[in-house]
Amino acid sequence: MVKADPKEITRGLQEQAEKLFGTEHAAEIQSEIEAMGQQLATLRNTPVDLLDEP
Amino acid sequence: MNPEQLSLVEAAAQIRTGTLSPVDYARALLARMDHVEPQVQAWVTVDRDAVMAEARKCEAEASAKRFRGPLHGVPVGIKDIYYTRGMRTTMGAAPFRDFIPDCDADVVTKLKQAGAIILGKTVTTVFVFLDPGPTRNPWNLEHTPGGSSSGSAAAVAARMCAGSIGSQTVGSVGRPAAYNGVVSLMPTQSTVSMKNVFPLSWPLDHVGIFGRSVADVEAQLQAIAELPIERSAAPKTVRIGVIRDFFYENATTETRTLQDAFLQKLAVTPGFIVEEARLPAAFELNQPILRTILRADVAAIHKDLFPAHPTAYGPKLRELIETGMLISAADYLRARRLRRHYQREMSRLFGRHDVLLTPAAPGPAPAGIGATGSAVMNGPWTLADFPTMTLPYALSANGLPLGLQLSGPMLGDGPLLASVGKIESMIEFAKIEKESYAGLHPG
Repeated sequence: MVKADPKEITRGLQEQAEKLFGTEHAAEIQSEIEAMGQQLATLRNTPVDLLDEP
Repeated sequence: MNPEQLSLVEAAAQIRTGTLSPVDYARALLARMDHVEPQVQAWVTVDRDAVMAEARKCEAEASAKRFRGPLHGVPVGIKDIYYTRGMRTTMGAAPFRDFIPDCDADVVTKLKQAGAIILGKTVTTVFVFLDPGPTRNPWNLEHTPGGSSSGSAAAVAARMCAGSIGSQTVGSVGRPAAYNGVVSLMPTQSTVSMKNVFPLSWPLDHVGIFGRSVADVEAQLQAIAELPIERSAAPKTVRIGVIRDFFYENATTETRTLQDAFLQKLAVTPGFIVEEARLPAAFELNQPILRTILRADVAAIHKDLFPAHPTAYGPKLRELIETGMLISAADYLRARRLRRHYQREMSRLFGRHDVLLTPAAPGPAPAGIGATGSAVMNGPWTLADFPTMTLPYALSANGLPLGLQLSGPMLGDGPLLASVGKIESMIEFAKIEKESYAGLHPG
């Protein structure tokens, strides 16, 4: 499994936010986006059993 | 004793034996409301005429020895996200200021079938999240009552009703119960229907119940549960697993000291075993899983409402929605699947313990009403979907209540109530409250 990088995920989220909300507003929620990047990296780096349904 | 001082089960029992009139009881609660509500602000809507009309019907039926159910003639508060037919349901938010549903939430239907009178709708934070409403803590008006079930908890604490319904998605029942010195239960999610309740997150939303005692919340649970809750006797010896590590790191020194003092007393009492419990490695996943599910669900739920009414949203909810809009389906489903893993690993803790014990909040209710306090102690149990109770047990140095948080295994609601009832018998919070209460109820 390729290890997910929180910085890379955050960068992608930030770009998405800029497209959706504009640069100024994306900057306002940047700290929350960074926290989210960390959280998503943790999830992506944790193996999950295929038999575990949502 | 003044009727407003009765617990819910005491009031129900007195109505059944004819020693308490439903009309007198409703009148006493409304009079109490006249006295304290201008300061506490726990209610959004109270239809006094409808309450008294229903109380008169209940009284006539009781006189003829006809009882609708176990809560006959007992008025209760309902959080303002549960649909109530013909009664305004605002979600604490401007777009629903004048919304009058044409149906009841299942919980409301069941309460009515059990004989309860809907006293009114209690304050919720805006759209059930963190941006607070006007409610103040009746123990000290300068402190938060917690949220999002702010009004439901404060109304019971201030003796405006003996029981009420709230909801919990992260920590919206356990935390307000602790801050207001009342007992609460968040049942296993599937135990009680959430139909016709405005959602925050479908997989995480739970009904919440407030009362003055374990018996009070049990009586309400029995009334609203989809199936009867198995009533079990408390184990001869209750095995309590105390989880300190993460929960003590997030608690104040005072909370840790008072809880340890109580546990020392419990440990030398026959009928209790108190042992340290250790969290599994999967515990570290609780925040990433919970926040990912919450963000995505909130973004989906408010997809149309948010662009139509942007000014109705507080800053915290707005940020949650906007970040939720960035989550991919793959990440959301991964979070949902990892939740199963988390639940399985956390469930192993019950191999050695009947209940798990932690503080219900980091400390007493924080000063100020601009925020509702931290849910850090509650979220892990909501995510696990373990039935969880708050039990007030002590007062902090500034005279505000502190609560214990007790969890049982998923679907173990009945055994949890029995074990916590046994722990409650060791506390005498009513006595502590009567001797020390500096707030608004006539203790």
